[in-house]
Parts: sequence; structure tokens; C-alpha cells
Amino acid sequence: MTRFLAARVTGMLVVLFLVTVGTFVLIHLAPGGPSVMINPDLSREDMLRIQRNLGLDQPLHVQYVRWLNTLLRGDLGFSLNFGARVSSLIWDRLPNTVYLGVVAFLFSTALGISLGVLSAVRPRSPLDYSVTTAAFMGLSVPPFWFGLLLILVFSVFLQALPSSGMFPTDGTRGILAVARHFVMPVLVLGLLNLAEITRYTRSAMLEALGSDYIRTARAKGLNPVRIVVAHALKNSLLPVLTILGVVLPRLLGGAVVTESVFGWPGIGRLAVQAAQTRDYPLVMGLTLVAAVMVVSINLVVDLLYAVVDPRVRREGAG
Amino acid sequence: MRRPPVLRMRLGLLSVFALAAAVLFSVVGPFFVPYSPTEVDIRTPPFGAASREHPLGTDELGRDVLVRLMHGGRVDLLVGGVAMLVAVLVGTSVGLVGGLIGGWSDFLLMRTTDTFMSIPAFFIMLNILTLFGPTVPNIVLAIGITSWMNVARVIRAEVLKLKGLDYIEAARALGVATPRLILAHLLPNVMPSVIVASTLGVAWVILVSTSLSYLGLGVQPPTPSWGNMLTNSQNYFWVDPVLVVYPGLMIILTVLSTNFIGEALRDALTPGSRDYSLR
Repeated sequence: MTRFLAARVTGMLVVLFLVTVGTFVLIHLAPGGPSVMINPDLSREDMLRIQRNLGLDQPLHVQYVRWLNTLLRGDLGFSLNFGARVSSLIWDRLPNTVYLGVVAFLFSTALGISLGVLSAVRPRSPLDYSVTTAAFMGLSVPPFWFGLLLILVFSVFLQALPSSGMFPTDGTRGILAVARHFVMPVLVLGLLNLAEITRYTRSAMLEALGSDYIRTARAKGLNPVRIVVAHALKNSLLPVLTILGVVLPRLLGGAVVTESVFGWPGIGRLAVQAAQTRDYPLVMGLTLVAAVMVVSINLVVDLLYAVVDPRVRREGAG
Repeated sequence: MRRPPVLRMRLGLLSVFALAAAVLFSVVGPFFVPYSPTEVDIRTPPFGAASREHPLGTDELGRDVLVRLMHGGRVDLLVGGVAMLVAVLVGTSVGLVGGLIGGWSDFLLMRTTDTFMSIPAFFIMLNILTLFGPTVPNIVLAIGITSWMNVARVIRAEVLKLKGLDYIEAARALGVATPRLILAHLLPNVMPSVIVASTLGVAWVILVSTSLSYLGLGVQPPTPSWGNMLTNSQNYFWVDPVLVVYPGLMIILTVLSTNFIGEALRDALTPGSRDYSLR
């Protein structure tokens, strides 16, 4: 297990290193490089002076090492547009994205696994067909369109749910009041993953239910509910665990669109603002933070997998 | 235990017709409509209702919605197709090289794949499109280089599996050179997985490009795309709600039928594979 852990952590560090190189190179490949983003209308002398002051006239690898040095001390620099530390900008909004992501994740996993199991237990039933059709629709609808549709129905016509923001504007902070703000963003963010987890669970369950040990269990006359939950579902959860490594990072990407639709004060919307104002320290900082989060999530999923399935441990260490 | 493939095949076949109709509509359609998709004719009133001259009415600038829908389809299908082509080319090369050569190059390629997978695609696309500008080639490239990883993984796994088989070893023993081994022996056997992965990928890419339009980083107006028509029509929802319906329907129709075709192809071409769609 120690060797497995060491191998995974090494891989994670390599990936993070490549992310820093990639982000850095991308910014410097852009037409005009980073200096043009400060103000494109500067005179040539001013531009050169600023470049010298910021060290942008030095060779790329020197700049990279210097940047990495400050980065390792936890310093992400200053935002060009907000006039604040990148780290504090991100730090202020990150929890909001995490809350939304966690709720959307729990919602889509719980509902997805239940729907998947139900439709696998009765394949080709009306329920199965409706679930499968709904899942396909979920995979085929533009998420922002779905979000706007929800706003139209629940905020405009029914006036039942708030259309934007995370907190009521009148300053109330009751659980119920805040929860109302979560409903539509969670639905939109969870939709894609819900569809995928449902389909995935359904296939895994169908395969498990068709296997010999289930037939044996049935032949022994065990309780059918117990067979489905304790025998088939337990073995199906293993492949389902794998897609969590895919689903969780996508919550971050999906946050970009979802937070923009619902005016959610998280890092997804911050990324759009940073991109539109060409605020490159902020863009770089956000990309790195997103990468660190995804890589850590993947590490946790890998570890979980190794805990659940001993075969993975040996494979990874070897 | 699975649903009978027959039904899926029928659905797949139906989807082929639906998609072919969408392609024909976009590619050939504009030749039959005498209006420009971008130029404003001040004689046509804005938000015109459906009429003999304008079967789907006119938009906020009095432009014919039908012809804009057709041209939008050209752009979207082009972006979807070419971006996926980029993704498949990159993914297949990475997977083939990694799986076949192994060792250090495999390690590096796979870590690069992990790297791309660990930055949420939208963050990479935001970076690229704001830095280099949201032109059609940049959009294609941005989507392409954030969508190849899955293909690479599928191909690599497939190559690792095939590599151990007797016929490859026999070919090696007969002295077949590596390029020929790849082209004549490995690639044809990997093709089914590539086709399935890329069909499902096109659906995904079209959805992503509409989302980019929503963020203002997709195909830029006045050039129509389904994504920016949809985004734009939101502003006029109370004046002319039908404007939201048409591009939305085209997107759903195209994406849904591409997804169904992908599933049918999966059943037909890779019968042993699990019904797990991972993107």
C-alpha cells in the first residue's frame, strides 16, 4: 500500500509540474505576450519600461523559475483588474463553488444510482424506458439552455425560486432561504452527471444481475431485495467508483457555465470575468487551483479504489 | 440481459436519417433561400411572423431565421466535425505510440494525458480563447485539444490488449516493419473503438461549443451559429419567444441523434464492450 501511495503521489506531482509549465507557456505564446494585457495602448517606451520592471524582458526559463518560486510560497500575485491578491480573490469564492459542487454531487450520485438500479431491476419496463430516454435527453441538452428554461418556469412564471445569487437580498440567512437559492443551480450542474451515473449504474447492475452468483443466490431463495442491494449493487459500485474520478472534475468545469447563468459567486464565474478582462495572473491562478483540486480528488478516488479492490494495489505498485 | 440491439439499431437508423437531414438542411439549404444570413435588409420588419417569404419569420434585425439556421448549422457541424477530427488524430497517435512503444515515452504521454484531464476543459478553453481570440480555427483547436484524452486512453488500452495477440507476434516474426505493423495490422483492429468514441465525441463537442457561445467565446456574431442564435434570442424572449425554440431544437435534434448513432455503432462494432459512455 505504501508503494502504491508513493507511485500515485509521484504521478500527481509530475502532473502538477506539467500544469504549471503548460499554463506558463500558454500565456507567453499569446500574441504580444503577457505585457500586452496590461494595456494595449501603451507607448513603446512605457511598454519596455514596464517589461523591465516586471522582469518580462528576461529569458523564459528564468521567468518560469522565478514564478514557480513565488508560487511555491503560496503567492499567486496580484489581479490586474480587481486590484487584489489573486489568492484572496480565489479564497473568497472557492467555498461557494465547493458547496454547490458537493450538493450537486450528492444529488446526482444518490438519484443516479437509485434510478440506475431501479431500471436495471426491471429492464425494458416503462420505467426503464423513461429513465433511459430522460438520461439521453440530459446528455443532449445545452446546460445553459436548461438553466434558462428553469429560470423561466420557476422564477418568472411560478415566482417560486430566486433566479440568481447565493443569498436572499434582504439579508436573511435562514437555512430554508439559502436552500431555495441552491435548487436550480444544483439541478443544472447535476444534470449531466446524473444522466451519466444513471446509465453507468444501469449497465453495471445489468451485468452483475446476469452473473452466476446472483443466480445461485436466487436459487437459494434469498430475499430479492437483499440480492439486489447486498449482492449486485455492492459489486456494481466498483465500476461506478471509477467514473467519480471523471464526474468530480467535470463539476468544476460545469461550474463555469452554471455560475454564469445563476450569478453564483464562485470561482467559475470569476474565471469567466478573468478571461473576459484578460486578467492573466488571475487566469493562471484559477487554472492552477482547479488543477490542484482535480488532481487531489483523483488521488482520493484512486486510494478508495485501492482500498475496495486489492487487485488495483498490486497493479499500481508493480 | 441487455435491451435487444434491434430496437437500438432502429433508433440508430432513424438517427442517421435525422442527422443526414440536418446536414442536408445546412449544407444544401442556403442555395434555395434567397436571403443573406448576416446582412440586414431594412425593408423587412424585425420579429416578423412566419409567412410565405419567411417560413420561420425574421429575427430582431429583420433577417430571415431559416437561412440563419441553415448557415448556423454549417458552422456548428463544421466546428463539431473538425474539432473531433483533431481530437481523434491526436488521441489515436498518442494512444498508438504510448501503447506500442511503452517505457518512458508511454509514461510521459500518459502523464501528459493526465495533465490535460486534470484541468477542467472549460478552464483551458477560456484561457486559449481569451488569449488568442475566439475565431473559428481557435475554437476548433481549443475544443480539439481538450477532447482527445479519452480517445488516447481507449486506443492505448486496445493496443496493449492487441499487442499480446498471436497475429501481431506472427507479423513481427515475419519481419513486418513497425509503420506497416501499425497501419496494416493494428489500426484496422482499433478502428471500431475510434469510430464509436469519435461519434459520441461529436455530440459532446457541439454541446461544448454552444456553451462557449453563451460565455461569449463561441462563434462571433454576425456569423450565425446555433449557439449564438440561442444565446442572442434570450434577450428578445418576451418579444418573440419562437426565436429561442428553433436553434434549441436543432441543437437537441443533432446532439441526440449523434448520441443514438454512437450507441448503435457501439453495439454493432464493439459487441464485447460495456455500455459505459465515458467522455
